[in-house]
Amino acid sequence: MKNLKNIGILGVVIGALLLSGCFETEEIEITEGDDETQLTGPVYVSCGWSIDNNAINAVNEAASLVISEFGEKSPEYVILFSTVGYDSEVVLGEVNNFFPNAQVYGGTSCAAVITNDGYHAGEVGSLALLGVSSENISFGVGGADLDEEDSARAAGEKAIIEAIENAGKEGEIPAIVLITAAPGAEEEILFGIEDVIGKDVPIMGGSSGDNTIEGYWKQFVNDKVYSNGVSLTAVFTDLKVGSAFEAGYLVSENEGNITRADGRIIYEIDNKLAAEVYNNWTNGEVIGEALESSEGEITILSESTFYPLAKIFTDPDETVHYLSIHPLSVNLSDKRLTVFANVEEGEKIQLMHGNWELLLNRAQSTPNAALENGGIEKGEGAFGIYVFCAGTMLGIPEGERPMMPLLVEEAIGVPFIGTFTFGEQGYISEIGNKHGNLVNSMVIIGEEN
Amino acid sequence: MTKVMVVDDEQDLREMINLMMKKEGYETEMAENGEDFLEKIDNFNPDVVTLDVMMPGLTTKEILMKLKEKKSNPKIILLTVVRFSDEEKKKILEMGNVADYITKPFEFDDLISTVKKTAS
Amino acid sequence: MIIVSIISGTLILGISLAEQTSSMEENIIQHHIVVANVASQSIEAGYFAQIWPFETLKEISECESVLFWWVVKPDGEILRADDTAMWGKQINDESLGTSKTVVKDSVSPKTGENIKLIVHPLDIGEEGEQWTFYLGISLESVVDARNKMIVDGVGFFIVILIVVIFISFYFTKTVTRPITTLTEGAKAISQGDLEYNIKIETKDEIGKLADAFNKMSGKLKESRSKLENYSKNLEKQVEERTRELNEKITESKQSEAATLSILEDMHIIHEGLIKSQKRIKLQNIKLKKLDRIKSDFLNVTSHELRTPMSAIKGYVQMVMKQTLGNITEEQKKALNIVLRNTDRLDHLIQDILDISRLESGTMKFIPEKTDIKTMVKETVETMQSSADLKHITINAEIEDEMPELTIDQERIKQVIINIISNAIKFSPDGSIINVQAKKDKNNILFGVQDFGRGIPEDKQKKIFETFYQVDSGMDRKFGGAGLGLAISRGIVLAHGGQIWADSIIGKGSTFYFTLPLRSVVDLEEKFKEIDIFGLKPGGI
Repeated sequence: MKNLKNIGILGVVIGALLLSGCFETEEIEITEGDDETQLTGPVYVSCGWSIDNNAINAVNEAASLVISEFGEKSPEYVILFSTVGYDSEVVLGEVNNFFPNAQVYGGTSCAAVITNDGYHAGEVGSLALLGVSSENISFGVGGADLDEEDSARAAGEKAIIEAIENAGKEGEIPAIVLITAAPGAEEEILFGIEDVIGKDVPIMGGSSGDNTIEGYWKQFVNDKVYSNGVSLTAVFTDLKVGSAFEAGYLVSENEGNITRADGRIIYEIDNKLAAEVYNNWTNGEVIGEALESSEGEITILSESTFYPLAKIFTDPDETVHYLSIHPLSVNLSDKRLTVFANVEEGEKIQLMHGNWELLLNRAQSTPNAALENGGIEKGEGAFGIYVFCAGTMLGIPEGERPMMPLLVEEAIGVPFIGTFTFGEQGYISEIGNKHGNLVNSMVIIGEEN
Repeated sequence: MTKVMVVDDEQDLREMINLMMKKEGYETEMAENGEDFLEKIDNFNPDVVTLDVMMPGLTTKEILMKLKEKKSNPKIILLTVVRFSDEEKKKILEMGNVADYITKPFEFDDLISTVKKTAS
Repeated sequence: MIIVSIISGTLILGISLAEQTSSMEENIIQHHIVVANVASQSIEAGYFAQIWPFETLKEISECESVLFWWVVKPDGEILRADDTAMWGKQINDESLGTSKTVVKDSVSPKTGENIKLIVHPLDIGEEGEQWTFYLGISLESVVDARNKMIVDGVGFFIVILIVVIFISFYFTKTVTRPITTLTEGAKAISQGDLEYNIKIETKDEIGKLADAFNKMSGKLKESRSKLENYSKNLEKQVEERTRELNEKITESKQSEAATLSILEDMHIIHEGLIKSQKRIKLQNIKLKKLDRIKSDFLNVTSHELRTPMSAIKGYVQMVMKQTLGNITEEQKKALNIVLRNTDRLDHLIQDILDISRLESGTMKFIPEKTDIKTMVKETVETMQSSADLKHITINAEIEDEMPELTIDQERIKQVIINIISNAIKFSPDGSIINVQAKKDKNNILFGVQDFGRGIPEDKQKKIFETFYQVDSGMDRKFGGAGLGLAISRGIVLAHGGQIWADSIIGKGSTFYFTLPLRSVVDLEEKFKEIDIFGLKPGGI
């Protein structure tokens, strides 16, 4: 009897097990991926970010993240990108509190900031910090206020001299220069810098942005906040450095010569009214019927994101480089086209085009190009700085934007910090440093020589 | 275009048959009894006439008689409630003009095909 | 009818719903397999150029039914997903690395709801490394659509039901019931109950009919009582006069004058008798006239009832033929129902008129020389299609040497049709019906045999009564108000024949009727003089 009972119980138990196995709908097991890299020499790098509504809390949060990774060491160089939702004076002040021994470089970013953790945009604002400490790198942060100097060129000159001084490397030429300037006179600033260090050093960065193109942008130079200034970092190192400065658009066949222009205004292309030519080239997609009125001014910034004009540079190897510039507005009375970069009469320009998918895919291709440029393998860099034109960022559907930093991270595999800018400066190999729009750029500093 | 005249003292039926004829593409005219019919017939000069046999006023016989005096010489389709014996059928056809007859209530299709046949 | 509608409607609804739901599900799954294909191909196309089809993938994730998509490395790490939070996560799943498309049930990692998972191979790795594309889809849209269909279906169904109910109520109230009342009244009156008052008070044609009937019976009553009075008076007068005469005769033996007065009296009596004769003749003529009135009246009825029927049929048919504009399938079906009911009504009216005419002796027959064999053969052919519906075969066995009879062919056909349709009704599926025609000395004998359930003996005569219906209620469809056999009987009797039924319960029945070889002459006499064209409204 007892045996029977036991067998019965066993049977029921087995049956229950079998049944529960049968009836369970398949679930997919999901676990967290592998954890990220540990901090090892020779370059100590750590990132932090925050989207807290309160500026001070935000700095706290971001700085704590940086510090927690650093442990007993402390960074000697900090990159700070923050949005204009925070009071920049407060933010920079608080950052200096946390890192009294560090040089601080950076500026305001449009709408959001990015790190290898993702895309950070808060209700009020967001900010990101990248701290670096390394025996193998010397950083020097310098800047100038354009309103105080005689010219933008002079400001550039002043800023680079200060930066080299602060790096303790007077008389030496840096391996690479990082730049964050106020929008408006970037070309002149570049000339000023090149007057000091020559045309062969890559100057990589972007113009600080705000959320509304109203001039609220700021630049950070150690403890100073400039509204119309320039902030530079001169980087001295033997470690591998890679950079890439790419527009990434497709080239169309429409091209012409600028026959009348002034500064950042194109009056005529091929002796025809600039806006009309541009309208023809774009089949009315950007301006359209509005061109028929003869009064007023219209902004075409968002539509022209997908139809930029390009400056054309041919290097000694006959490779043609296209540098995009962004048509900003059309004056309907004289049909002039205002762009976000300087143009010259006689210069040839070409129409480019693209879609958001193309722009987003750059977040992989450009970092990879930088790796290749520096000869750095994925995951073997120390840190990176990624600059992405705010206009192109806004052209990507909001839901897709978070993918961008993840794509960069996937390509380089190291911590990085990124900003959304209103103009980009970078080095085109065999051509030199140029200022353009709608570009994205990557700088990677490696771990080895 | 074939012309059809619809004669019936019942308004609903008259208008219904009229509508059916119109939809078939015929030119139509209506009359509400024998006298009305005889008054209108020469003006309209139809090819085919649908004639109800039970109407107030002139009897069908009288109508057919008086029709012989008129210029118009249409083919007549009688609409009736009863069925006829062979003898009666003969009598009817002797009255001249009468081409066919249909019993009520009729099928839409029957009416259309009878009119078509008569008109050709 | 309502219950049947409800049951059949629900069944149809349920079945179509189940079918639709599962086919919708299939469709959605198929559609998304295609989507997964497209996504995989776009990814494969751009992979080595480091170009991801973000736009395509965004469109896919925006599809209503799509819950998520993942691109998974061979080791299970999610490389890309619509939700950036999933990037880098590790999954453990049976179908990982599959080389063929797999569709399976699963549970959403986020919400726990039941989903369908489409697992599609992604050929972007090296040899031997199989990447996978996961597409999670929700079948909520199917559920939603199904619910919507249920609501729609039920709603529509209810609407149709209400319409059908209204139509049947309307018809019942305004037409069927009054006609039944009318028929009962007509029957009662024709059977001599002149006190009967038909209670229909509506102002329509039927009401007028009822009035006419009542007036007619009133008049008949008057005439009858007048007649009775006259004959009573007559009797009385005759009695009186006879008595007086006797008196006078006995008195006459006493006086000569008495003889003269006797002669005078006899003359008076004679005159009185002649007058009475005249009156009786007049009465006869009046009765004949009443007959005429009855038949005129039935003809008016016929016309009055046929006219609205024509209008209804005509217009409904026009709408159905889309002569007055396009109509939907549903509308067509609804109108079909109306048309069918109109036909039903028409049949009912025909039958009632027939039975009224038969019972009042005013039915008009059209006697013609008829070939019996052809007539029976034609009738059997017409009935074969209804028989086919129940897989019943009708056999016709007619003696070769059949004479020609002078009969009303239409009406006799009607009798045969009626008997055969009853036979079909009560026969089981797949059985046979035998139709026979034989000649004997004085008559032609027709017989229709079926193998149905038979008729109990006590009912075998009753079935020929007016309004008699077999209690199964099966009569409904065939325009039966229980009049078919009664009408058949009337027709056969008018032709001078007999009709009866033989049956054994459970074995079947045979219906017989005879037609005399010598044509019945007085059929026609009554009606020959009526010239249809010479009449004012009311001609036959």
